Amino acid sequence: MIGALTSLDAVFIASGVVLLIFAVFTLVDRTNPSRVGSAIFWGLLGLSFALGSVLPAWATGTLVVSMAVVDGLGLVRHGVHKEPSEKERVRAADRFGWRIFLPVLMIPALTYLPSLIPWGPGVSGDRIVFVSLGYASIAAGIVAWMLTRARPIALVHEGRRLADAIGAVVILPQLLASLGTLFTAAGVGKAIAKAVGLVIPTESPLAVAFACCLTIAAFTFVMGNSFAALPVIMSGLGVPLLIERFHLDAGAVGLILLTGASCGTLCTPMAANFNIVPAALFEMRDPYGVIKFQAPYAAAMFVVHVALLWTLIWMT
Amino acid sequence: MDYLPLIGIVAVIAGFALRLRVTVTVLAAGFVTGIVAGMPIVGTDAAPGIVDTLGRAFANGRAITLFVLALPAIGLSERYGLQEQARRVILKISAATVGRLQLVYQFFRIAVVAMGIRLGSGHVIFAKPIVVPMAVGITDDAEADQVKAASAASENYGNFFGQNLFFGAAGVALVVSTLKQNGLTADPRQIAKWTIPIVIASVILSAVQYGLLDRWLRKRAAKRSSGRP
Repeated sequence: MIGALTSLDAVFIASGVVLLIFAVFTLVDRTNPSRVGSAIFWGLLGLSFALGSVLPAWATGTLVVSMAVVDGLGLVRHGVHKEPSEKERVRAADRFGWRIFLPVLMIPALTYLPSLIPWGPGVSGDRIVFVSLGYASIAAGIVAWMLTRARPIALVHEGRRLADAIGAVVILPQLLASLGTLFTAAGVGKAIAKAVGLVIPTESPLAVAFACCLTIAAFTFVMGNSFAALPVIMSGLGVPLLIERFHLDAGAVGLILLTGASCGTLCTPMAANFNIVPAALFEMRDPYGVIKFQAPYAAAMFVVHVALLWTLIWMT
Repeated sequence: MDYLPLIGIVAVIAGFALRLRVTVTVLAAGFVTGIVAGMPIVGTDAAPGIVDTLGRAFANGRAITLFVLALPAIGLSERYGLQEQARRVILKISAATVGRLQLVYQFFRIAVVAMGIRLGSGHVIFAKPIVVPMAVGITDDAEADQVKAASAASENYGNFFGQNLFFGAAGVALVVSTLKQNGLTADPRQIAKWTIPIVIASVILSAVQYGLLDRWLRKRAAKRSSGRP
């Protein structure tokens, strides 16, 4: 029983239930110009969460394709949510003061605490983090409700206000991770490494350092994930061109290429959880605003990585 | 036809260039890639197909979207003055600017990840409820997307370039396992130390970018106040 309640499935089912509740309230939200389509979208997402571990893979895949189609048809819209007026906000801040931070600060605190307990082998780090995050979120909701003495339904309304602000973008991180898996299965990474290996001038240390960093950053730009890029680029380029040829420290090459890949992550809409979801969540006007802000910084960090590799080649 | 799988990348770039919906672009790229790789639409355990590979990966990736559970708590706190309170707190610090706030947050984020603490999405649990309202409160300029963008960027910069300071980080483990596959060995502690020059460079560059942002915001504020009668 305890095992089931502290499994990842438990928090996924809880998320699924929350999403299904959002779907029901969306269905009756007359301020939403596409309430049926939007409700279908949130309902399908809720189902994929609640049943993701028991459905056969093709069924979950069908849910995913259906969500993308509903969004593709432009049927996922948001309702009009009443924003609190200036006066209400000031009055609430006067009334609750710093205590209103309590629920929000509880989430990181309660997510962190369980990781201090030695759980023993067989309990993965992922499970500890995400199960804690799930329960911390639920506890924070209860504390926020008790603190504000709002009606419980307000939790649904306010959660749905934020979910509506994010919209269909909410599925992108998972969808893009799935695309990465498909790309890997189809051999995209090997093709890239092979194509680049043909054109790199292997005599010039600077050119090699530049080409390796550029390839892994570009690969990450396409896949949205540096972790998918590293194994392919290391075996295709890093090991033969940098470690074997210039006798560089293997760990240094691996680490520099890994964070060099992050320069690509900073620039790509494919890393939706880092770049696109925040733009939606913060209600920015430009969905690519985060990427535009990060791009010059990423270019500068890219130069740092090339310079670091180049220095290493000179020093050895 | 070794290079045929790259057609999926072409599809992604074309989709973004044509400004198609990202969900549709991704799905189309997935199907095109799977088809040229000879995958069936629906496969079996032995020979995976496109739809089931998508479904399996989507189900395995649910942890990324677990933050939806935190939305009711954050939303309700916002309703009851969270943003106003964050504004009041930050305005008590007269030296606070958007850039300095972001730099402080980035240091905080680096410290958190360097201790090996994982908390899920920092954008949802720190930036949205606390950093963004503070930053917007300082400028009193909710129109400036850059103020919000900087709040996402400081989270990403701190997280990406700081996390491998911890030798038990997933990235360091990935470097070890990748090297092992290539017949090489490396000590995680030795790998992690290479993060130090990178994190120093990242903080310096952040300070420069946030300084430029502050300057831009000052000019903008001056223009706004002079534009009004």
